[in-house]
Amino acid sequence: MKILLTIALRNIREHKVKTTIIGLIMAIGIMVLVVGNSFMDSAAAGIERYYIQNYTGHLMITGQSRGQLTLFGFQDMTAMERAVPRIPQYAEVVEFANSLPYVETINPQVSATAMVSRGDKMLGATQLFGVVPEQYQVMFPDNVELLEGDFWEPGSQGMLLNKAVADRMEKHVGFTFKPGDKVLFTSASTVSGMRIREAEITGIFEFRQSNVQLDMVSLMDISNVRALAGMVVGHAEPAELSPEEQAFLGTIDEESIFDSFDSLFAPTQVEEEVAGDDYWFSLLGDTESRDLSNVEDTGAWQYLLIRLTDEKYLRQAQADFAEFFSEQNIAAQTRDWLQGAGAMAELSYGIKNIFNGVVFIIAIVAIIIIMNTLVISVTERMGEIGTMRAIGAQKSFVRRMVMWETLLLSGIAGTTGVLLGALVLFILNRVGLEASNMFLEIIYGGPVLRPELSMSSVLTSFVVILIVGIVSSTYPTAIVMKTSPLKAMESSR
Amino acid sequence: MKKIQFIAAVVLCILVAGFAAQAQDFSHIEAILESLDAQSRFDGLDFSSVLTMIVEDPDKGIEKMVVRQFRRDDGERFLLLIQEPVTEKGQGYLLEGDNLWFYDPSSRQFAHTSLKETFQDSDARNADFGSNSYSSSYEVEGYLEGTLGNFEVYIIDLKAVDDTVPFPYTKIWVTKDTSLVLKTEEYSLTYRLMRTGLFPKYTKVGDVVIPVQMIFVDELVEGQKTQIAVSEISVSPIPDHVFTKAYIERVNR
Repeated sequence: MKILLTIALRNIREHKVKTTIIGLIMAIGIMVLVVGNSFMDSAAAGIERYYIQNYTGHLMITGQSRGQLTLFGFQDMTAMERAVPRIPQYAEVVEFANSLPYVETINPQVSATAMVSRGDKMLGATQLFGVVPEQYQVMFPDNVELLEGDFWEPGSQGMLLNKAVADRMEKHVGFTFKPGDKVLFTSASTVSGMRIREAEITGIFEFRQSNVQLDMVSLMDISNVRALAGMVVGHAEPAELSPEEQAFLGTIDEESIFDSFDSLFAPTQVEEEVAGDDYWFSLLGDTESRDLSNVEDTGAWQYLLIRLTDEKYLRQAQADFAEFFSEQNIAAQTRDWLQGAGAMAELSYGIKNIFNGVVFIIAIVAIIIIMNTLVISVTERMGEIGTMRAIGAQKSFVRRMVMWETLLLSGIAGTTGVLLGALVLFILNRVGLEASNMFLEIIYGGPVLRPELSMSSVLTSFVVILIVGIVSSTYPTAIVMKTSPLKAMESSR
Repeated sequence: MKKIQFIAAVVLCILVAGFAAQAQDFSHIEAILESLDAQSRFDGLDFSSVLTMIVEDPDKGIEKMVVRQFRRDDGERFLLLIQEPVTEKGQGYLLEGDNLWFYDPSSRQFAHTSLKETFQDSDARNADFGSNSYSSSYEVEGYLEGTLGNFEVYIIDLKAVDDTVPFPYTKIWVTKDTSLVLKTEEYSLTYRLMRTGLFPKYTKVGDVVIPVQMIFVDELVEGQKTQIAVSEISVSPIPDHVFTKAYIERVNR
């Protein structure tokens, strides 16, 4: 062993130029791997951290539903067609959540999309998060930067208008929103039709870290958002249909509809009697039942966001909640932060995967170059190896000698590459990579990325370089071993 | 050789010009569109009816809405007053010329809305409740002749000329003999089919022809559709105050 190491070290020293070239290639390859993987890990961790800390918590509880339900509502083709389900037996769910030792804090929310108007002018759209300020600020203490005004008072109504939303709308109307202004919000709920609510702007804010999707979000008192989301105590009774009304239910065959008769005209009785005032002013009849049906369902929530004391409890939390829902027969489910975060976070992850693919291809190219260089290096020493074998060196001895040489070289070059990579990452971390456009902001998970050295990328890089070293020395050694010592010695002349 | 080339070029030009002229001659189709618009307008008459809407939703099941419709086409006015379901009772849509207002009795507020928007949670659009505007809002892109069930029809491709209509492209099936729209297909800007409309029953009120049965199929959500039946048709005069915001507020008290 000692002899082998001595010979291996001597050989490395003897072939200084070759060693330097191969070592440099290996070091650069490792540096690329370390920087690339660390960059991607930092971006992924950044996206995860900033969503968990600022918007989603670790876990989101919702009513049971199919489809892609996020904190912004459904994000698929049926987004406008379906209401976000309420969390059934909300009080019990909260009680259970609070009883779990690893639950740090919880925050209930309701979401709605509304058109904003003022007077006769439709100004644009905003996503509304209905929150209780006291709970919201405990859960997400650092995500809101108040530019003007403040949250509405406990128990009262109001809204914080997102600066990005305000900027977009101000362009259309030529005035500046300020606290105290009142605006109308109109939403289309699948439960209670269209709803209008007037709310006073109590403050203008921006999210400290935002993206295109979050730039659409304003915060509003829960009462108004519940009304806009159609969360009232009343519900539609099952429809009783006449035989004529049932005629076109289900799938219809267009051709047969127009096949079954010759005339398109139906006999109709047209009334011409003039009605008096009594008729016109009593058209709706009693409206008391309507008013009772439209009372706010004060116990209704769509989301319960949960922050854990440590991310390591995530799986346990999911399992505990699943068991609780099953035992109590509650039609609710948990979703992790990524499911809750919506399209932009998923897009960030998608793009990250594409970049991982690019890094992987670069790594493959680096590996091929390293392997090729090592193959040339070993075959060039055919004469030397032939001589060693001619004077009695065993095949296994030669194999181990080449292997140790490669491992030593890989170790030195790998360490150099990691150190170089760490230096590059240190500089990038200090400088900070600013996202100059929306695309980069999506990848970075925010406006600035400060990449950090990731241990997993260091370990991966070392494993890769060792495997490359072993594989790329085994192949040429096998060729050399098949050659007779005499031929090998002749080839060196 | 040059002579042959010259003659060939002239023949080609004549053929292209001929085809182009033929392709652009949509005057009889445009006349049909004008008659569709004219026969849908209650000029000099008020019109009221009850619309029963059956909304089929694959998630929520079947819902029924009852809406009172008041129309005065002179001045482009209409009022749609929802009577059922109870949670939406009293909500109203008031069209005053170019302005469409929505009223929510739960907050006693009016807000601007658009004819292009969906009517409540149905597959109908607010624009479906007024008179037609095929000749003014669309231009003819082409047409075919065909049949739909027992009826011979023109299948006309239309392209919107302004943004006042809900969809930028529409295809309509119009009976050749009676000029009635039997079917519509409405497309997005990317020419994706968004909605299919079927109009199997009509009625005549004076010179006006209105569909009394309509089916709107949402082509994005399988199983989602809305059928509308028109009943209690009346052409008796409607007081002016009905087409005002004050009336909607008062009737909701």
